[in-house]
Amino acid sequence: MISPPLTDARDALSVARRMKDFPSSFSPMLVKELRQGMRTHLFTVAFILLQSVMVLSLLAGLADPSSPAVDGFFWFFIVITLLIVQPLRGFNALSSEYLLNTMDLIQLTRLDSWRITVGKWSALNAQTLLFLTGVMPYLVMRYFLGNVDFITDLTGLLFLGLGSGLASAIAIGCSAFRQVVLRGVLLIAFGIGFVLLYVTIQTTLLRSGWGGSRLATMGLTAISLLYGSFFFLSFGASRIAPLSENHSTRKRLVALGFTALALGFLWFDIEWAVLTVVGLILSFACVDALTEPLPVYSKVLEPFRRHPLGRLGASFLAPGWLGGICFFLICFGIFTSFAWFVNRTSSSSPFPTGDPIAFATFLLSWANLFLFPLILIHLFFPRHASGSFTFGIYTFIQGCALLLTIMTATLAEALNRFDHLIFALVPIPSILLVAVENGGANDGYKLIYLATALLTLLIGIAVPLLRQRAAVSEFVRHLKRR
Amino acid sequence: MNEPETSMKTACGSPVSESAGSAPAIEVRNLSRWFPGVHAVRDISFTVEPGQVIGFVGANGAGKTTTMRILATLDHPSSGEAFVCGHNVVTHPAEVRRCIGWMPDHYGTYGHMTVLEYLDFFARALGFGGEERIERIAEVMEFTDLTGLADRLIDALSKGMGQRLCLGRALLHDPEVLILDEPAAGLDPKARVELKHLIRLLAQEGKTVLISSHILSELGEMCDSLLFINQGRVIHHGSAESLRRGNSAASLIEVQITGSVAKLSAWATLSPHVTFREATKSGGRIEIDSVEPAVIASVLRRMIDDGIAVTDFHLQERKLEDAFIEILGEIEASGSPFVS
Repeated sequence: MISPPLTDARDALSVARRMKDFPSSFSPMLVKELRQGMRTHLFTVAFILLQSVMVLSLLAGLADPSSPAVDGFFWFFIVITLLIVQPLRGFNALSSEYLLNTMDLIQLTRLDSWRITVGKWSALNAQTLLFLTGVMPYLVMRYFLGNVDFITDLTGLLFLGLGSGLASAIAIGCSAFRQVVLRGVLLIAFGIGFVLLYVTIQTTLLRSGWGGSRLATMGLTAISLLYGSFFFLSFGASRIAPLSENHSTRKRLVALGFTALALGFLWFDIEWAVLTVVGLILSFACVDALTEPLPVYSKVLEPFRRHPLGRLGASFLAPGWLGGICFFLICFGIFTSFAWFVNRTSSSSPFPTGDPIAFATFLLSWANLFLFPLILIHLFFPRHASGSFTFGIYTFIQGCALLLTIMTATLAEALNRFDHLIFALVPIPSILLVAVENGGANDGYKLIYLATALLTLLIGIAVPLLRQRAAVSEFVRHLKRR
Repeated sequence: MNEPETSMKTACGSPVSESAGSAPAIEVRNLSRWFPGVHAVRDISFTVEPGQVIGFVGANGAGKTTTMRILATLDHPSSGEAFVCGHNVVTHPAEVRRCIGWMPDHYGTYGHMTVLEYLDFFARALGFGGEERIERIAEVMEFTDLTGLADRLIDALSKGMGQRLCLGRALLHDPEVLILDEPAAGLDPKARVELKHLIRLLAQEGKTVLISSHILSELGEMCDSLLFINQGRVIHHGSAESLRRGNSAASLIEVQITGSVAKLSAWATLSPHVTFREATKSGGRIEIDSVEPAVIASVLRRMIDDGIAVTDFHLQERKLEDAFIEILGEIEASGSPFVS
């Protein structure tokens, strides 16, 4: 027999009423993560340690207010806490839900994958905000001790906060992968990229005063950080999403939107910075689009089926690598036009200027960089060409290609032979890129390089389509179905 | 011990939703699901009417969990269709999710959360706000008898308490259909009885329950009918009673009497519709050539009228496990995947 209830209905109600610590309007995931997160030892220890270090640095500042060591000590611990400790806490954010067998249960509620991911990220940022708030009084006291530019410090803290947001988004996005090794490798790779980006920001922007273009560059940086955060969060969300959810259309439209926003900064005469940011935005969006699984839930295509324009939109906005290839070609078109424009108007072009063949080969080789792993995946790993491992294999091939390129380029430099013989031995797009950059070939070889680049591009598009004909025709059938 | 007077009356409302209309609670049509190298579910079809409790029986890897996951919109069929409360699980997953409560075979909890926090999280995630959320949590805690454990960390709960919590979570949005995958697995006898009791209460409230288990005897007590699945195919769908009885047109009765067994044997030989099968220590087994309760009752009456001192008279049934094994044997013998 079941045990008699220990309490009556009124008791249950009064017990349940205790759950009013957070308003109902708060995201359920945020509430859950805050309740769990604030209870962890890591948060408590990090918070107490940071406060202790702040007090120590303040006392050291009292003794010697102009010491750069004290300044370094002060910022070092804030950077460690905000850019390493906090983001690392998100390393298992999504995968732990699989480990605990709770992901299915959450997905049966009204929370979609985006809300789950953003909820986890918001909770981490809310705790980062607590850290920042805890640091603020010390920032003010440092100002009163002298030798500190409060606005610069505050801007630094603001960018640290934004940087922490992006770093947390990277960690949470990567945490969608259940394989610890893949997660770790991705986090390290993105982490290095992030540190390089951040160091550049710190050294070029925050240390050298204010001005029109500097302000614009800061705006552009903010755009990059915001898009980066969005990208990694949607990257994670789409990896955990059931097939019935479409995240691809939003991801691709947002990438195009941010590209347009970044292009707006052309008014400020910082076209190279704009080109870099646009290149980064489109690259991330394209890699993601090219590695999405194709078997598309027919319901997802329903909105596209309603209108002829919708079907046209589906060709590059529908989930899966098929739409991803079309999206990639559009992005390539945008970037090429923009690069051509910048190449014509700017005096300090990084492109092979004055040589249309080299310029075309250069751009096509960049495009091939994205498509090359896809050819290998569809040729040699067809079973994984459309699944959860695609991105991992894609990244692995890119990593190998990068390593091979560095080795070949080093060898070429050692032998002092930047010619076709070296590059014919390693027929990958990045090698061709090195060949074009070094410009060692004569006109005849330049044409061969161009033809090779063009052929690789066509193969890059044709191989996936031919290898996955059945999936492609199924996709088209679903799209045409009324 | 006292029976709890808790119920889900307010929450559960009517047994069949208006939205469902006259549609079956669950309808599966030629459903198949294959994974690379594995054909998990093969062309199965069955229907569950609103308010029924159906036991889903099969060995490990038979396709139970895959079917249940498809019904819960957590997986998608490779071919065929499935409907829950009249909604297609593929085209209307959101509507299906609103009317099902899913309890997987694993725990699915957060160890460092309290019982109350856990229920609060899912109530919020299901879209309940304000006073309604509080009331739902209270009702579920009361029904599953978790109020006294509200502040206990989930890590500190016993398996039985944990299962009650999971059932509570599945009931938060007052679903019409409950899909319970191996809810009794790993539970001690007391927790098993408690769970069985809760499921009985839910059945009384008019919930449709699809429950899978290895323990056939328990399913037999709880379920209106049993669905046997083997190697991805439904091999039998019928009531537990019919399974126990089997295909036989006769009833085997165990009789205990005071006095000589020979007297019973002699009486059986002279009585119409009755055959004496074997003698036991204090009686014997007789076979009546009918399964009609009225005929069986008349035999008992005649026996007493004829002066046999009957101390026990009961129908001998096959164990459900034996029935299941027998069905599997029939399939192997016939080569056909189906048994009527």
